[in-house]
Amino acid sequence: MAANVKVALFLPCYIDQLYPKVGMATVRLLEHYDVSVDFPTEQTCCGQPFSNMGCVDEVKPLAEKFLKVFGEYDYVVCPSGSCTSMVRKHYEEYIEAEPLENLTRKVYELCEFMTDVLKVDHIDKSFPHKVGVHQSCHGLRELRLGQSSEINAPTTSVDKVGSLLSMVKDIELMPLNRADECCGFGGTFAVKEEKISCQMGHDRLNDHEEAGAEIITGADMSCLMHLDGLSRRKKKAFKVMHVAEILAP
Amino acid sequence: MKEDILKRLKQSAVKEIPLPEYGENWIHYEDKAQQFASMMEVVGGQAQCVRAEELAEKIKEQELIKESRKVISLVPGSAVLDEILSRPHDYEDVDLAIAEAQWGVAENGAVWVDCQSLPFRSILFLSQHLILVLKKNALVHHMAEAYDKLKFEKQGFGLFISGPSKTADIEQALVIGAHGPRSLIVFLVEED
Amino acid sequence: MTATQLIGDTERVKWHDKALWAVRSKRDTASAGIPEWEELRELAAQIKQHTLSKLPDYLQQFEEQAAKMGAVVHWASNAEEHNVIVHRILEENKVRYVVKSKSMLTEECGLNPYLEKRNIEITDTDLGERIVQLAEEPPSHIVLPAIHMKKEDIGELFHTHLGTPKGLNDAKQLTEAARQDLRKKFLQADAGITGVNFAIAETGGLVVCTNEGNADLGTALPPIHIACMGMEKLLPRAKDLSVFLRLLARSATGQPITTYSSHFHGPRTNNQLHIVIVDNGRYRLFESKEFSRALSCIRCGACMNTCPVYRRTGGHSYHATIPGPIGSILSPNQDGEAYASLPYRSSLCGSCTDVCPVKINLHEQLLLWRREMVKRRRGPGNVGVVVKLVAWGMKSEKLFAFGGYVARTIMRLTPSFILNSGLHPWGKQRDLPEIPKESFRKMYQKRNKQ
Repeated sequence: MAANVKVALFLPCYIDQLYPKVGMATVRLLEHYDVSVDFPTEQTCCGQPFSNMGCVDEVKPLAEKFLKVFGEYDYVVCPSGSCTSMVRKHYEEYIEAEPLENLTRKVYELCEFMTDVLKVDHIDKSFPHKVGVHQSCHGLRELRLGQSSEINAPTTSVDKVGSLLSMVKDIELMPLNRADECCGFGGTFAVKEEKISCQMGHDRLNDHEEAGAEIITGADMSCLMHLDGLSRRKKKAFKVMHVAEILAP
Repeated sequence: MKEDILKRLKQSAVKEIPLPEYGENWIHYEDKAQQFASMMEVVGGQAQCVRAEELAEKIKEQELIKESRKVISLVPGSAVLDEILSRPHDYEDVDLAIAEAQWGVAENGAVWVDCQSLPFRSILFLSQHLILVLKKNALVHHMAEAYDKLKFEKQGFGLFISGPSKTADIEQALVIGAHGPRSLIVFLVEED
Repeated sequence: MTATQLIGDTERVKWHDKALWAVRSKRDTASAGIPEWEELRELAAQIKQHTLSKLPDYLQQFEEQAAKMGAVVHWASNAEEHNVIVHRILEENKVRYVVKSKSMLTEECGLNPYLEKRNIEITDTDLGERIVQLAEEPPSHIVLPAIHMKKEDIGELFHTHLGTPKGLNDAKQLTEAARQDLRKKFLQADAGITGVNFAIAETGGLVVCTNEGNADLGTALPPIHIACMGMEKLLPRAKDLSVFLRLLARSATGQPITTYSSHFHGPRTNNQLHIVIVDNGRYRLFESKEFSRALSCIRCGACMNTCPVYRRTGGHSYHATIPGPIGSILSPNQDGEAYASLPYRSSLCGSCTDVCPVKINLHEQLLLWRREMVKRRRGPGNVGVVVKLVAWGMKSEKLFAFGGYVARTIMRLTPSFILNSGLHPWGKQRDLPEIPKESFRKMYQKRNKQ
């Protein structure tokens, strides 16, 4: 990428606090493809948890802050489908039309940045493992990172998460029974409707288990945190990794 | 009350857009009759091609005819006894009814039956089995073509029938023969 | 089965989930066979939008045309008026026995108990509805009313009410028993009540779709037909049925079309057709910027079949006439107090929006209802002060970093057996991740210093 192109890293708040390694992997990955990334330290949260609860008043100052922090960059890259979707699809309430249009044009989820902007066609890494891909809902159905099983026309030219992973040497992507059923995280749903949330998560784990996956990956750490939590409580053999961690050198 | 309801519907939040036009580029089949026949199988029925002059004979050959005690036909030339009854309920003990359909739709194996010509529409539903006779060249590809042919200018009743009556209400197990007829055969009649 | 009951019974949940996923899969197969499927959805959405934008005009056109065809058109502002009107028609005609085909609207209005209290015998004739009627339960799905019941349950029910042999659980034989029993009811009925799938403004006609032929038997035999319709069921032209009849059954059950798609224009000769147009709160959706598109619903049930929550909890757990995603949007409109929590019973996965044949933005409307609940301070919308505090803290990167550091430190110092216990809902079935010593911003800062 040209040196004068300014790219900012927008990190989901829970990755910053609970999964710093995913953030570091994202940085390494982007730098490997000649993208020098800025991490504006004034960033905090896109406001999604509050939006999810319906608390628009609480989101407004966070959205305005987001615009201030990231507005001047050429690209804003985020290793999360749901946070990216929050900015691109749910900021209408809070930001005027013109600045919003300018902003949404530059905010990308990590995998779509790599396929659509960087046009990555090779991944220099070997990962000899059986991997199950969890297609997180917001990334899939709001950003159209991949083809949702419900729609009968192409919604995207390529499965952005899957295609990047299949470029990794020696990787084996395991086909699932239900390619894109929700894991049950859903934000506050994970806590408010704990029983249903966990039942859904367990069903996803069973699907990956039946498929023979050793590693479960996806583009959203929130889904993975929920699946990982269930898996470890049941002492299952899975390892859960963000796609950045698999793709990064 | 009507006035109360309409008064409350003053301000629609829905933006007005024009009614779309459509149907030109919808699905087309190489062989309408073949598609119709295979869809009829899918919906649990059966379609048979027959030449006009053979129709009466073909009907007589059907197992259903041999097994039925009471057969009513509303198709001229089907060589089966016609009988006009006085109440819709009087068809209660009919084993087999034979009637005409006016149009057939290849995409879903449905036929259109206009009940104008029937003394009572109940015959189509009370009868244990049903045979419908349709001209082969009255087949259309899809539903938009079908509606192009239909007119609703007069009081009356018509319906699309696709296969025999069925239900899957008990543990999703498909059962053919719910309240209406237990079987449906459509004769596609070829004329010269 | 309540949500807790169903979810507590893991075997039942698996069975219910599998059954409904199978219906979703059938929908996938059927829709894939129509190359113009997505175009049909777009057309349906546009036709409904156009119709809703001019609803009063189309309603009046429909009434005019229906009257020309010999039908009597009644208007009911609410459920009570609807019941009164239907009862009056039955009373005037000295009706004792009524057969009814599937109508979620009559469920919504509570018609059955209303008539039964007034000594009118009303029999639901759709097999699924008949089953739940005998079981004295509401339907748990709008298209598959008894999907929550196993054939053994149904066998027991029929043994008690229809005299079938004890232990009989074969679907074919049970259906045959119901056929024989209901046939008598059809022949005996003085009046037939149906719902309306589509009403055509241009012709004054009604379309009723069934697989069993029960709506047809119920209207071909008795001299009186009462058709109950929500006012949003209108379509402008007969030809518009070509779009909707191609979408409805494929979306609902994966069939290319229902066995019977009956078009009623006026009554049978010398008989009566009454049409009851019902509002019952729909006007609130009509004038709502956020929720008006919910009126496009054609009651196919596809959203229920695809919903991972519905599949695992069942329709009864919603305690509403219409369950599932669309139900969670319509019910708070009926009663914002009782149904305040329904919009939160969703992970907002968006699958419903993608299967909806009329492209209602279902998952977005669920989120919009949450905003409404916060405004009204109802149910989970009545957020506590902690949420506001946390949001306020997020405005400052220093507070955010500090707060995160404190939280992480506490979690790292708390022994795992407390941290991963059921004290907090998260920890009931999930372990927390390994809490890192440093946040990303700390790590990154360090790396850059090197």
